[in-house]
Amino acid sequence: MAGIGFELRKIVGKGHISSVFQAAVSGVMIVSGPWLLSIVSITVITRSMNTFLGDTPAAFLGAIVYCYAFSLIIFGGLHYVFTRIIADKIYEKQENEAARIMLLFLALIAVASIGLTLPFLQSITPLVPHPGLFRTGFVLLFVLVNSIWVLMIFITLLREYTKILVIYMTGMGSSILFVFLLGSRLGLSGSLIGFAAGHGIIALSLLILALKSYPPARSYTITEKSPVPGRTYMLLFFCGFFYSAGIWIDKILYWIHRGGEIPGTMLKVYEQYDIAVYFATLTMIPGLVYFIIISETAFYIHLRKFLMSLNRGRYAVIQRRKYRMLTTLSSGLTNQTFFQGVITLGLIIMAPLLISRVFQGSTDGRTLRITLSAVFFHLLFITTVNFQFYLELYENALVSCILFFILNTGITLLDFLPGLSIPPGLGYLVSGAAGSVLALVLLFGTAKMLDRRILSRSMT
Amino acid sequence: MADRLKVCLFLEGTYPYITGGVSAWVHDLIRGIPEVDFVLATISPEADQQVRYELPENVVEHRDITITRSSASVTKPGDRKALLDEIKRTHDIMFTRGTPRMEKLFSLYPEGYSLSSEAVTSTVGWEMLTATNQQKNPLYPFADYFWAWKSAHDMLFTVLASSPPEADVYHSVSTGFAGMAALAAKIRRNRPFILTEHGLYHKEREMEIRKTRFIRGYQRDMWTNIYNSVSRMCYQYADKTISLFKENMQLQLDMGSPPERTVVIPNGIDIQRYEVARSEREGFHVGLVGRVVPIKDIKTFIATAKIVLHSIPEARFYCIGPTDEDEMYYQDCVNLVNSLRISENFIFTGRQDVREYYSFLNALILTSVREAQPLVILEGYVAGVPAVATKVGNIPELLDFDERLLAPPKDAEKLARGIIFIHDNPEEVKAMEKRNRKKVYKRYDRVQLHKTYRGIYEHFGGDTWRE
Repeated sequence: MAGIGFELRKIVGKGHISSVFQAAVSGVMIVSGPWLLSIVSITVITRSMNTFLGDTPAAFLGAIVYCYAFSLIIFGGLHYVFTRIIADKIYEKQENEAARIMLLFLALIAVASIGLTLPFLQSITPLVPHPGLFRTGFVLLFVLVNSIWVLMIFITLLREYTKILVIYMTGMGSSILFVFLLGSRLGLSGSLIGFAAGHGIIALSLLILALKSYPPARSYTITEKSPVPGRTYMLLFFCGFFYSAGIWIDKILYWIHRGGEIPGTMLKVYEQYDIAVYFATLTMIPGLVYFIIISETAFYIHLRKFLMSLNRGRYAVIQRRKYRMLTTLSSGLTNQTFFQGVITLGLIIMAPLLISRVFQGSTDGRTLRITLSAVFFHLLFITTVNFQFYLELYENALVSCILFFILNTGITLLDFLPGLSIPPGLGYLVSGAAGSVLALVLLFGTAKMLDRRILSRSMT
Repeated sequence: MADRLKVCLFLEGTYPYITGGVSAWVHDLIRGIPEVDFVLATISPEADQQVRYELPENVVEHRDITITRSSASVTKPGDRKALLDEIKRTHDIMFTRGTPRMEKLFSLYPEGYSLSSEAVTSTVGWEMLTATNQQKNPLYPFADYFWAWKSAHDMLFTVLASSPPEADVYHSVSTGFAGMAALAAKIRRNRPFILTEHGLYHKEREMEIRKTRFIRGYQRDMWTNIYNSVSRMCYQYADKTISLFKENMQLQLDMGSPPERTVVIPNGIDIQRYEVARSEREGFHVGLVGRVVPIKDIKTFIATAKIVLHSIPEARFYCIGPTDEDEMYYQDCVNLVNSLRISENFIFTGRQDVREYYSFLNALILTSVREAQPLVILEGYVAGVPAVATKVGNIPELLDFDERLLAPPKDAEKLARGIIFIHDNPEEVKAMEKRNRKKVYKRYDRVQLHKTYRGIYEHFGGDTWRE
């Protein structure tokens, strides 16, 4: 994402208030456009078309949430591996080969997705109107969500940000339309199929865009052995898995332990926490925008200088550039954290107002405050892990993600103990904080020896 | 029946893979002492090289150490930190031109332990590398320094980690990596280390380094210092250091070789083999016996021939030796002969029985840029052929320091004058031939050479060698 960050920096660099505003809006749309559009469309559907959702409107939202959650948990690791493979192919100017690999991943994931939905499908009872259609809608949605992740990774690496936004606007608009058309006739199940159909438009449009940009290679040609060792892919895979699982594990555990059943399904939701999470996650957007425009780009500039000095520079120059890079990294993370901190603190203070006016009592102040704080640390964690990836410190990233997962799981599981009540979000908060600390310690501790590490690795 | 004495020969860039003077010497030595078993431990740049000699029956084992390839560790040190610290200490001593005590290092350094990665990437190794870089070469690209350092140390560590064959005596035919391997064998197996030097390894490497284009500036100094340090250590640890002539012995003494353990044992040839009957031929025949390779500087021979032909038009020149070792250089030489238009008078004979040529040659020429104690001059003397040669190695002594027959390297004109002198002064040359023949019989007899080495092996192969 450093590429788009540089483009946005250029806009900010013009110096006007308007250019700063323009860069900020563009940043928001790039970082979170699809995400925001999804939330907007779901909100429109659940608020204005809730009559179509029948007696079990929670089944609609629950199906969507479960699709997204489990798609990330199950395939999150593969996404990281896929990103690395495609990035390498694009760097080597083998875009057609990258497109061919994308198609391979899509096929594998589609087949796996269908298989993985089977346990859920069997749990749907006639309490859900048109259970067959509901099953179809769920499978369709799950396959399409998983496909869209893969397509998004590919298109994002091609830097087609504007086109992504347009496709999402079209797709989500179509979702609303299809929900209206099918929901009015077939109720809940029709709504789910309609929503899935909108995702189908998104997936198809992204696929056409990808294949038009880079037609896939016709046959697989092995030019030379992959320079990336299998161990790297394995590390990336488990990083992705533990990170995604770490985000969702407490939600899943609260669904199991405290959630209310959605009649006719095996799904459970825990609205008090779910609502707080969905809102709090949106508050990460400003911090993410700061990251891509400022923290990441500044770091990248100095990283590049350091790497170039490693190739032909004197030892003193290498050390100087290394420490400059680390200083930039440190100040970038500090300023970013401060920026996000101000926003989070403001929202924490405003929590009572938000509870009464926005959430209308569907969550409580304590849960909201804890979750807002957790998201604050989540941002710090993910950006620090991102820098670890930049420096190829995959082992460090994995250790950090494993800690993130274990702490969130362990603390949340305490809620299962009789007599003990762990506030929702506490596990998420503690794991985010601890994960961030560990990630920072490992990042700066290892980065100090980066020249030695890079030269040593080049021996193998 | 008593066990036969076993001598392990450490060889680098020579027998049995490369033909030449040193290889011939080794081959003769092994054949000349059939009552001793020999083990060959060859230090090679690559595996599976072609063996160019038929190994005598008393070669009972041949072990190859490929120094350009680090092998995986099969053992681990008991105390890794102590080992790395000791390596640093050893390195610091070598750095200040001292001679480190290697016994402690080897006590910590197990056979089969590969240090090639850790020597650079461990904290101790990295500190050593960066400190040396800052001290010696702060202005050069660090990555270049890293790779040069690693390359040099990799080869050393490969040799030090290798398992020496079991033997009663370890005999290295050079310092360098072969010498280090013999030194390691001495300490690990507690057996004596004999060192014979034909040329001086560190001097030869220094000359090569200065000629190459891809090793520049500080890297030259680094490699030169490494080779000098290795030679110094070999001299210190060898129980006997042998050179072929006094000048080289003096240089060994100057590098710290203890005088009581340093001797001269000249080369020897099979005198009977080269007592060939003369069969004079019309004309004037000049031969160079040697491989067609740059070190023999055949191009200067060709230029000398051209100059001589102005004065002696009937002269014929023979380059007697294999032409397949450096095909490009051979082709260059052929092109030079053609461009100088002397192809009717200049012949590349390929590998031949040199005795046939000794029977009619009027003069032998040697244009090498580097030699130790060339056997061909001795062979020629026995056959009654006078020599003109470049002033390298022991050649001036072999030619009795006679300036009429000696020339600086690449001085074709001086060499030509020497050839013309031989042509124009047959009486004086005849007297020289008698003196030269007598000299060879007295000092350069191979039988005496092998007897001397047999005595050395028997002395050091027993239990009293430490006394």
